[in-house]
Amino acid sequence: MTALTDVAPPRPPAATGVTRRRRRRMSTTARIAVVVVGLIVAVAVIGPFLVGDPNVGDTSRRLLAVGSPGHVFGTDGQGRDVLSRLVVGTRLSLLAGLVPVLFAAVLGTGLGMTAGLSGVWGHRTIMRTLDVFYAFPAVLLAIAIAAALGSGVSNSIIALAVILVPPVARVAETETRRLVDLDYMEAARASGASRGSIALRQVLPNVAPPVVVYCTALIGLSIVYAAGLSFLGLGVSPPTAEWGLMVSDHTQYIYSAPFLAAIPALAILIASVAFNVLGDGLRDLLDVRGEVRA
Amino acid sequence: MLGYIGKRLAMAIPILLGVSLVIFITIKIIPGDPIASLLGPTGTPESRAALESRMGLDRPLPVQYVAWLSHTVVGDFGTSIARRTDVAPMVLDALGNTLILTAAAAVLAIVLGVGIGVLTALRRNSLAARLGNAFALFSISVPQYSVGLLLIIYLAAGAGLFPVSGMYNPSSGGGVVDLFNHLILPAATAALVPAGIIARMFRSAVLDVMSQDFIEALHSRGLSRRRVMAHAFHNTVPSLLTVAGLQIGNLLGGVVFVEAVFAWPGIGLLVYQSITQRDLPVIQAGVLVSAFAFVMLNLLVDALHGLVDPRVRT
Amino acid sequence: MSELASGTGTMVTPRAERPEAGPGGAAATPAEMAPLEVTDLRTTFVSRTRRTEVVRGVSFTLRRGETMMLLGESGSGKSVTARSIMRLYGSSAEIGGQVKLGGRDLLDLPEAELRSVRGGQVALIPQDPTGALDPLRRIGSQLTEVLRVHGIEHTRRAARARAEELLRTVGIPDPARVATSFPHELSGGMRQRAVIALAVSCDPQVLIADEPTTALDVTVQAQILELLADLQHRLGTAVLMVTHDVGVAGDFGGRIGVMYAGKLVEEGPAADVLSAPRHPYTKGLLESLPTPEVERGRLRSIVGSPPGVGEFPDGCVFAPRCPQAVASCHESDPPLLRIAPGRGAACPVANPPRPVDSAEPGRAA
Ligand SMILES: Nc1ncnc2c1ncn2[C@@H]1O[C@H](COP(=O)(O)OP(=O)(O)OP(=O)(O)O)[C@@H](O)[C@H]1O
Ligand code: SF4
Ligand SMILES: [Mg+2]
Repeated sequence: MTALTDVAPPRPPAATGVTRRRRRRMSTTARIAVVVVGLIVAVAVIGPFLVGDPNVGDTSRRLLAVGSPGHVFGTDGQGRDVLSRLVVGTRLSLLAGLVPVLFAAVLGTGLGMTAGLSGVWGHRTIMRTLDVFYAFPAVLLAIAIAAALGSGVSNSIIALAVILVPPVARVAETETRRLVDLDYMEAARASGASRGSIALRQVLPNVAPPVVVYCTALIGLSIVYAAGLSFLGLGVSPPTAEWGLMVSDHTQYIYSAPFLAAIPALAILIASVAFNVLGDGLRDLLDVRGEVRA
Repeated sequence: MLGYIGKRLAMAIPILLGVSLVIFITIKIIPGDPIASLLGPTGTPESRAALESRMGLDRPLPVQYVAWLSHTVVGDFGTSIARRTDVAPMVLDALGNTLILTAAAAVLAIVLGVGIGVLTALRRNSLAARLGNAFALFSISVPQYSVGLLLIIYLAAGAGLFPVSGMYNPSSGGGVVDLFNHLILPAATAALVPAGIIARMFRSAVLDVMSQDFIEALHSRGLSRRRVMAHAFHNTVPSLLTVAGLQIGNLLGGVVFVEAVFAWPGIGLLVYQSITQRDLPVIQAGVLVSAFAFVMLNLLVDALHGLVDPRVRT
Repeated sequence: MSELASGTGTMVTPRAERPEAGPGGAAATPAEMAPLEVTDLRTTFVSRTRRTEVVRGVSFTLRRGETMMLLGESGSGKSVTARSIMRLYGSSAEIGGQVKLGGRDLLDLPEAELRSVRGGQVALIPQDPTGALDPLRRIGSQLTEVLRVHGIEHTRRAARARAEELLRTVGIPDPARVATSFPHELSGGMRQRAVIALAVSCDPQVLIADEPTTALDVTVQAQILELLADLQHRLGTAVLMVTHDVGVAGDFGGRIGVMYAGKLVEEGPAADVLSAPRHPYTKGLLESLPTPEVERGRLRSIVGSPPGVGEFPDGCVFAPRCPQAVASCHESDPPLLRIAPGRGAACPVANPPRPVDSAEPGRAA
């Protein structure tokens, strides 16, 4: 048919997110989150050098209130300085949340891309296996694995990594499939590029943004879960300073010193909110569609 | 429709098998030597071999799996190490209590989540929408164990408004009102995270539907705003079902923290107590029945999805 | 006036089968002679950060049973013009000018009256039939809803019967089955027929069709156009059809309005405009079409590209691309000039004023 579009410049292809990625700005909230995350990381790195020994307590100075001289956040049931424990605990609490996400990001991306690029059977095998992990309430599976492996921070990391791999793999698989459907992949294949080089050069750069966005928000969740595992007695063991352990430790005194339990809880909340907001901000910046959530 | 449900049921079976396999593997990866700990320091190689063959541990792993599975499917979950009683009745009781808590939390989460989702989608720049967004953001990031504690500190212990823990007041002799009183705080705590997630997902679902062409087409046919909104909300139901199903499923796991904090006698508390006692049969049975409940819930959600959306039941 | 208002329609007889519905069948009153008068229509999209005027003073008249084609490149504002008439943009756009239908200005109508006009007197057939239907509701229920909302039928049974008749009217062979089908169960052509049934369900005086065949297979396209022409003939409806397809415009006949950058630059009977264009833009457009002799891609086309929204130059909007442009073209924006009976073009250079047919301005200001 004779159509006017024959003379008009061709319409831009439907937004694919591949060829056209609009530059967008981060919101103010997201910028604040960047700063907060930066601060948390800084405290994790240099904090332990700035405060006193978190394990030295003076039992004559137990349960001092917040704002006591020399103990800004008071002292706990063994007379240990809460601020010191909070600061020193940052490193472990952050790592316990961050490392499982790193594992899951690498493993999940690999699995998802493999599933997306392989044939019907390979795809089905991988995705059905992941479905099995989806059939567990995630936290409970982590608890079961951690309980089986025994307490200890490395076991809690393994347990969390196991439950985080499937959702990351799904994100990577969805994105890979979307790319495979696009014509330009066809072009790459026609030009004789090998499967591995297509995966690395064409797929990975496009799969990375959504995975990064997703994983950033997962860090928030993972920090909460990791602290939760220690809260239940499955993470680090006393007297190590760690936020989840501090919450459970301080719970004994909720009637005599109700604020005490709120302090580490607040630290967990702030870290988790910061990573969630950062995830939202990155999504806007990289123009990744969709809601970021497990 | 029946064919669709049948297909879903058939798909659930391999998943359940996979679930059992994962749980079996977690038993097997437990470090340490279970035989040595059972025998104690006086064990001889002969008594060791005898015990091994009695427990079937000398057989190949697949055989062990089948044996374990055949016990499990008939509800034989073994014996609790710490309590020396049958695991099954213990776990099933606890499951009932967990389902009560989960159902209450699910209702709260869906009502809150849908309300906030609609508000933030339709009144985008209002103060209420901003508050709603902030609530959703904080609630998904919240560590439930500490929120529970704060509620205990201020509303239960402090203000004395609600009971601090448990399910019934031993002196009141039970009853629905008593249960309800005990239920409010744990249900509210458990509902926080899913409410936030449902709110955010539902917000994008509403925005997505409202931007679809048929909404304009409905307006162009002279339908009132209310009628158009009715069409729009009808069209958000499939995504709501998907999100809510997943979140209610996750509640089955998330309640561990809540149950531990509020001493709610469900699977979570049982598992929590068994962790300190390293009572693995109870932990595994707890996880197994939760996963089973989760798979059943997914089936239900799929069936509802098929009822609502003609496109999926083909 | 629609017969629904005059109450002569029987319960289930579609207007198509009523004798007086054909062109000239009913007594012609002035209101029926000019059902739709659009005067200086201006549509400005407003967002928090900026305002963009997309339709910039469009005027035309659509008489009963007549067809008007809006022809133009992508982005020239055809769809926005069509939707502005029905006020479908809500608060996201400011609409100026007048849209008179039966003596009333649609742009001033209160919400409730506007609703009865939408679907009742003016109906829309959008481009994509899939998007125009609620995916979760059966075709029949979508039809009965409209019939009952507009008070055409009052009982569910009668509405159902009417719905099936409407489906038959638009050429659906098994209306009973289609009525109980969901949109995804139908083919694209069937879906578009269902959408057309929805549009004609309340006997509209004006049917607005926005590229009604673009989303369809080529073979189905012709069938749908034939159906529209047939319905128009039987129902006496005026049709405003948006298209970027010159072939469609030629086949469908009626009048053509050529749009460029939110304005009508040429208007007249389809055959005249296509055979003897009087505006440099229309000329360029027609010359650039592929013909059997000239291969695609080797066409003479208009140099440059249309201005982006909000980047309109002073003076004639076509001046930057116009081969005939003179100095004065960059100074003032020419209105649509009456150049012959029933014909207008917005170019004084290509249509110099003659003593007799002196520059009588068109209705565009
Ligand atoms: N809802 C809207 N908000 C803001 N701008 C809009 C909106 N709808 C359309 N526009 C802009 O108005 C201009 C005209 O759009 P319109 O859809 O009328 O073009 P068209 O002539 O129908 O072209 P096509 O052949 O592509 O359908 C475009 O530049 C478009 O970006
Ligand atoms: S007015 Fe001038 S620039 Fe515009 S179309 Fe006519 S000749 Fe071209
Ligand atoms: Mg258009």
